[in-house]
Amino acid sequence: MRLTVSFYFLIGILFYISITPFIFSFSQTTLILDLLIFAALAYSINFITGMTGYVSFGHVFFMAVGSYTLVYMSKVFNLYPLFTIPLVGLIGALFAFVIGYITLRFRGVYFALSTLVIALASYYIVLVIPALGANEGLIFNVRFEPLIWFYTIFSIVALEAIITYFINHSRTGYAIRAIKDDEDAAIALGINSMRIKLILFIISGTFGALAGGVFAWSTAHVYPTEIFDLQFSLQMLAMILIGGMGTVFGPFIGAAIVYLLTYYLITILPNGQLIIIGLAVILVALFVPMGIVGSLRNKIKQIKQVVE
Amino acid sequence: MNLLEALDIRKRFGGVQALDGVSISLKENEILGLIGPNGSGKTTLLNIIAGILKPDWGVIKYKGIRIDYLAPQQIVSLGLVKTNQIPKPFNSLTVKENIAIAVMYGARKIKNQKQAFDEADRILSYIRMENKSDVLASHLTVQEKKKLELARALATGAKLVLLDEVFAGLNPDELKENISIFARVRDELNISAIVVEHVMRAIFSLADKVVVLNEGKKIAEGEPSDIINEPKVIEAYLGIKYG
Repeated sequence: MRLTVSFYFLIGILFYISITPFIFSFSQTTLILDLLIFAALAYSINFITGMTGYVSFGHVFFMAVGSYTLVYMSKVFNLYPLFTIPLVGLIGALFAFVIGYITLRFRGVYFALSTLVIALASYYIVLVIPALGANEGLIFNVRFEPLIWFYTIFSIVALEAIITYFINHSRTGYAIRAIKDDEDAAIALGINSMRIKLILFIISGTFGALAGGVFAWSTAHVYPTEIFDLQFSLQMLAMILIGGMGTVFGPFIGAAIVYLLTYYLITILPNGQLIIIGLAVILVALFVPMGIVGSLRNKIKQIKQVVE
Repeated sequence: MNLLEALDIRKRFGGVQALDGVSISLKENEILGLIGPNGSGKTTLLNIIAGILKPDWGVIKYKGIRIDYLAPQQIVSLGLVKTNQIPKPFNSLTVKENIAIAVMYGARKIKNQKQAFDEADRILSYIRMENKSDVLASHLTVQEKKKLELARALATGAKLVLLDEVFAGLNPDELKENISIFARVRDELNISAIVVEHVMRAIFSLADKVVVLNEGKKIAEGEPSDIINEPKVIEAYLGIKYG
């Protein structure tokens, strides 16, 4: 596989982000940390919804799985949270496999609803499990280590972006775009769509759980009402819609826009941030339906054709 | 040995018996025309052979292997592909990418992307669409979409293609062109086909054998020239003597 310019561009951006803790002030670095958690979630949902068009409305479920796994393991077995990260990913993958195996047989709105139902149901299930703190959630003692949080979530985002790049440029990437355009036609050409969707869903669930894990680690708690908040699911969808579905840079740009909107609006217009984000999604859907990156890519293609 | 054998295929949709014990067989390098009035079960039969629908009853063998319980993508891997009555191109991809996907998956499963795109170029020249290579599939005309549908089926490397009305809705010149393209491809690639068609001209210029369906039953089978004189066929379908 020949690496394109965009790959080196991606590596450049990742390198720049990796040195931000030494450039910016401490408080700015914690902002970037939060932004990276958002970006990790955006890339996570991008694997399934962005790439295949299967809208996962309950993606917050995987975030919750990761949060609870990390806090529970750290608290009960007294482990250093970083060492629980591999397990967090594994549990996320396991849940994604089981859920995907069943729900990916549904299409369109039925898939979206089934994921939503799973997220809602698991919230009520957690509420009655004493080991998971029932309705009070779990709190645990963590050392204040923003740099370690930063580099953990940075590695997750970097890995997600690079995996996204390689999937998009592979043979499977073509099959995925075919599934997104017309799944029946893709199957009729010999593409095993169920297997491809399931693998993407597992990747998606794994990274969703990892992002949730770091979120809980950096906030030292997991509360059911907060972690199962459907607002997260909607924000994740807004991020990839604004940034560009299925693209390598879209989730990051979308995450930055949604995060900055949320961050600034929460002081000016408390609880109004969702209205503004919703408005932004509508504007994007109307004027740049492919998202920012998708539309830019088309413009570049057109310019290239004109020049040639 | 027959390339394809479908025995006593039955399929019911609710209260409608779409297929009521139809048997067909096809030899290598043979083209079978499948005709019949609307609702006679032609498309249902193709969908069942391609594995898109499961029969209620009956056995289908392709190259001696039972395929009636396989998933569509497994059947394609064995070298049997169906085109869609209404073309289903991948609209966000270019014509060449559409064809390359069929090369990368289909029956050949070519892993190397460059090789797959080279093969796609070759198929584009077969169907004389080289100039449309980098056009998005969504920008094609209906006629071009039908050609693309045919090209994608050929690109899978299948030895048996099921053509569901690829010649319908074309003007006489387009029809002539598509028939000649298909006849040439058929000889060069040595493929067999089942052609479902209302356009009699396509059937008579391509088919070696014709099967006539009516209300889910086979009412006639034979050479095209014999079929048009069969009273039952004239009554059920043609209405008046053709030609």
